[in-house]
Amino acid sequence: MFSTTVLFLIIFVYLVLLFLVAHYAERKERQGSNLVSNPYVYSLSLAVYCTSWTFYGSVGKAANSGLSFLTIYIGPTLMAVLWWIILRKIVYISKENRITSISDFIASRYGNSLFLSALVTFVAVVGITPYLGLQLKAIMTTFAVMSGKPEGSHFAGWFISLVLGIFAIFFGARRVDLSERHGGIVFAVAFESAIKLIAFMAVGISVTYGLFDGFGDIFERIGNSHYSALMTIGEDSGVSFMEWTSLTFLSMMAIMFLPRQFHVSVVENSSYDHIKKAMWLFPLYLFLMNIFVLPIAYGGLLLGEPQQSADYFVLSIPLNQGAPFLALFAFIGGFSAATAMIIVESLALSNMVMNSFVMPAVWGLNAMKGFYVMILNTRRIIILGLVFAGYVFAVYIGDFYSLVSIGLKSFEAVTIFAPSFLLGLYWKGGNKKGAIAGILAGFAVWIYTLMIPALMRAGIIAKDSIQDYIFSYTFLNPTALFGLEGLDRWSHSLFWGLLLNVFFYVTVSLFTKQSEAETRQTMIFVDSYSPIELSLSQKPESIDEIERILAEYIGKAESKHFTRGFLEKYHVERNTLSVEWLHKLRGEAELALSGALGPSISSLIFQDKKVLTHDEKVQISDSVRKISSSLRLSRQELAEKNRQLALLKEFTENIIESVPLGIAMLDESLQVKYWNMAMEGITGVDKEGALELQADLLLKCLEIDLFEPVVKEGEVICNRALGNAPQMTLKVHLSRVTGKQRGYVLVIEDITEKKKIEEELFRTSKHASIGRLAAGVSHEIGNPLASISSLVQELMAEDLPPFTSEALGTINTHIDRIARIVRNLGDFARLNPRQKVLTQLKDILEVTMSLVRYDKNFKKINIKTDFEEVPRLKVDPDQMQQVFLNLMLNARDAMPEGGELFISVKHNNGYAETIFADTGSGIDRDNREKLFDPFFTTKGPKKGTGLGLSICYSIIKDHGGSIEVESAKGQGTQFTINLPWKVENET
Amino acid sequence: MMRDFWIFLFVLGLILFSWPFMNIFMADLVLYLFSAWLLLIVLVFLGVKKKADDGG
Repeated sequence: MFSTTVLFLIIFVYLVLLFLVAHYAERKERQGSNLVSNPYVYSLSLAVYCTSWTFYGSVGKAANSGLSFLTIYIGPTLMAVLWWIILRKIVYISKENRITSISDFIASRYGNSLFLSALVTFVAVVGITPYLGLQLKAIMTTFAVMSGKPEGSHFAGWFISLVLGIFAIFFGARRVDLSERHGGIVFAVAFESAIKLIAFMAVGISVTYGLFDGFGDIFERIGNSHYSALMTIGEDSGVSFMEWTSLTFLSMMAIMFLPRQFHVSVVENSSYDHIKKAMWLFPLYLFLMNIFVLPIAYGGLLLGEPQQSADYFVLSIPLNQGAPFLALFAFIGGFSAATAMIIVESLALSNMVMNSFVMPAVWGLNAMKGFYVMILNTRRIIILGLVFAGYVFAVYIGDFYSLVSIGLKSFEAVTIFAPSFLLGLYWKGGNKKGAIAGILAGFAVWIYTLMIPALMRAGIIAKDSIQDYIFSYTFLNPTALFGLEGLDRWSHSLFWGLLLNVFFYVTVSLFTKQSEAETRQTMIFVDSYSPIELSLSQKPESIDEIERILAEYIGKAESKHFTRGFLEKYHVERNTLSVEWLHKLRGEAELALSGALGPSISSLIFQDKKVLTHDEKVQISDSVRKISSSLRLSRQELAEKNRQLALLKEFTENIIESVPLGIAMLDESLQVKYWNMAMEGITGVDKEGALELQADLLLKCLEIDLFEPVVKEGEVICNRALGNAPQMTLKVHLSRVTGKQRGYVLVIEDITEKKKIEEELFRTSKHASIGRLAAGVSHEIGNPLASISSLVQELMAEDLPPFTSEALGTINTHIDRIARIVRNLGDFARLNPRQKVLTQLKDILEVTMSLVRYDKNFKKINIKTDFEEVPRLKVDPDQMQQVFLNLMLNARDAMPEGGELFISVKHNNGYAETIFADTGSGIDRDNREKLFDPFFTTKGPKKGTGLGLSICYSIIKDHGGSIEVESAKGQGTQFTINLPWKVENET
Repeated sequence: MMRDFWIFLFVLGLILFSWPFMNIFMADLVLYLFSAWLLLIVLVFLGVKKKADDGG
């Protein structure tokens, strides 16, 4: 046990910490940080749903009636599934109309009805104040449990009520704020949500694994005890299926319509994206919060804790098991659960009371107009008043009811709003009179079926009184209304309440008419329609007047700040503000004021300044006519257009997918939006993997960077290097797309084959022309050279002086050289056609190898062979030998220091493939391309004529084959000769 | 399309947590309730993720 002084001190320190947290968040928010405005804080702030009822009452409920406590959390989980549809719409409408409370929302839907707003607020205050009291009751009771004596708990309740009231005022009503969001409070609530979750889980883990051997152990023991019915639902357990369903429905409604939930989920929402994350994060929070409820409840019962005190097992178990500090941590967790609820609920309810009761009264009396300080103070008093009303309830009435009982009554109370709220969102027929009738009916049933029996149980309605006599009458029995028996009290109240509520709402709406204001609001709410801004000649007529009106309600400083913000936002000058801008300012001022005072009173403030001139009426009717004509396109026509569009889309996609061009669409940030099949083949990246990725990352296989340092629009030709895949030559075209969807279109064409054919064609035509030239030269030089050679031979046979004889020898040597060149030229020009015979390539190769074997330079070269059996080919053996010899001599020259020459023959798809691969110096890219050109040599003029490979090329072509070279500098060279054998073999 | 998915998921949730479905799993109701609850959360998470991936 802890002394009251210590407990007060701990509470005080915690509250100071809470102030600091809220203050820090507000400061960061002002600095533009997104500390508050993020989905995690939003989801945690929604957990204000988990109050002391969750923290203590769930365990109590689990220990007394089994699994029914789960409905309170499963309901919100189910509702959260629909948040993207429903909550997003509510948030959208609320933001558009600066709605700050559920009463404003309902009133606004039905034509800004002040009466409806007041009715909703009245029901909410009556229904929720006990719920506020429940939190204070929990704080006072736990204070007594922790201190071991009841003294001081009431003072603690009083003290905490005061501090929490001040907290809500400080962060929620420090000034009349045109911004309806309260970052400090939201962050503090999120902080408290984290604290209560950790504290509860700490107790849960301690009980489950410290006092027992885990979940299995506890469940097995409770299953074997007389409490086993607590693990089931149905007739033999503490909860029927009907009650289960009713409680689930009530909690589904509570998560939407409790004023504090509306406040954190709608008013404090800063982004639709936060809703998406909250749809699973918030239910996950509830799931974690509930994992240990059953172990604590069952554990307490197994440990002999009294079942009637189960509400406080979370504290009593650690205290009785000698873990006071764990109990203290749990106390802080429960305290945080209660305080978060009190702060947000009192703020939300004060907004409702202010906008529904105080401001209309102020407006009606016209007494406090201009005294915004008084308005501000009134709001502060209301907040304190609500918190202390809860305190009074907790002290004087709270003892009669359990936590769960009070909580569920509040759930039933807010469910009264469900028909007019939800049906009002989706049914245009609902009107103000119907909503009022429905809510009144629902509230009457709530009072009659839940509050009167509660008052009777508490003895406030005395037995044997007249009332008691009336209520005992079967037909009017509040627990079996109209003779309906067999239902639990929650299902009974829910059934009659919802039935009459919906019945009156629908019936009255069907039989009465909507006002013009209601019709306009119906469009805004049901169709999420944003009205067109018409330039009406409304007063006020100057910015000063608007500023003056605003100042009356929010103060001069805030008013000037607002108008200055408007001028800066739209870059307009104060002195030269046109009528259109003045109307826009007036509209925004009305919206801003509705954030502070509620839409009903805000529209009233500007209402007397709305006058429609004849021209404006004409303008409105013209607008309506235009809207009507644009809607003439019937649904069938739209469906047909839609179908045609789908077909066209499919057709276009089929074309794009089937063309042999790689096509990709990129957005402006170069993110891939479309990637066709051909693109997959070129880049090796499939469509699924490419979408939404950066194009520059996907096109790394291109030898050029299309996007760095700038995007290279236009056409480029480059190679593709993709692992072991064959090299590809690509034509890449990148062009910019303008219009709505800006970005780029990338088209890639594989031109590898095309380029190869072009090169082949060029080489063949070059060889043909050079061949003709060679033939002419060979003929013209050959004949005179023969004469010169024979004359030189004759002269050399004469007895000549030594110098002349030596000179003639030199001449003869050079003539031989010229003759060799002329002979080569003749060979190149195929002047000497030879006979082709069936021959084994292997035989020719072996003869050629025997020729070079005696060359001393070949002694350093290791020749390896791999000759497969291939059919005989019809070739000229001499010419083939010439080709092979040429290639082997080239290999020798490429390996002056020795190396390895690999020669192979194998069968390759109808061709005999002969490969000569050396490990020599290799050939660079530029030389490789010219290798087969006549007179091109890398050996220098003395060593070669540059005709060897050209002749090889001509011979192979003459045999209908192909010769290709693969090489890289320093990595050896490989010549591949393919000769066809099928056709030649036939003869 | 996603609207239909959320409605389908909501209806699935209603079925999972209603009689007579729960009656089938009465023998191990606690395990069933928490498993179904977690399943629903995971499905919502996947739905939200898919929506984000689709650029919605």
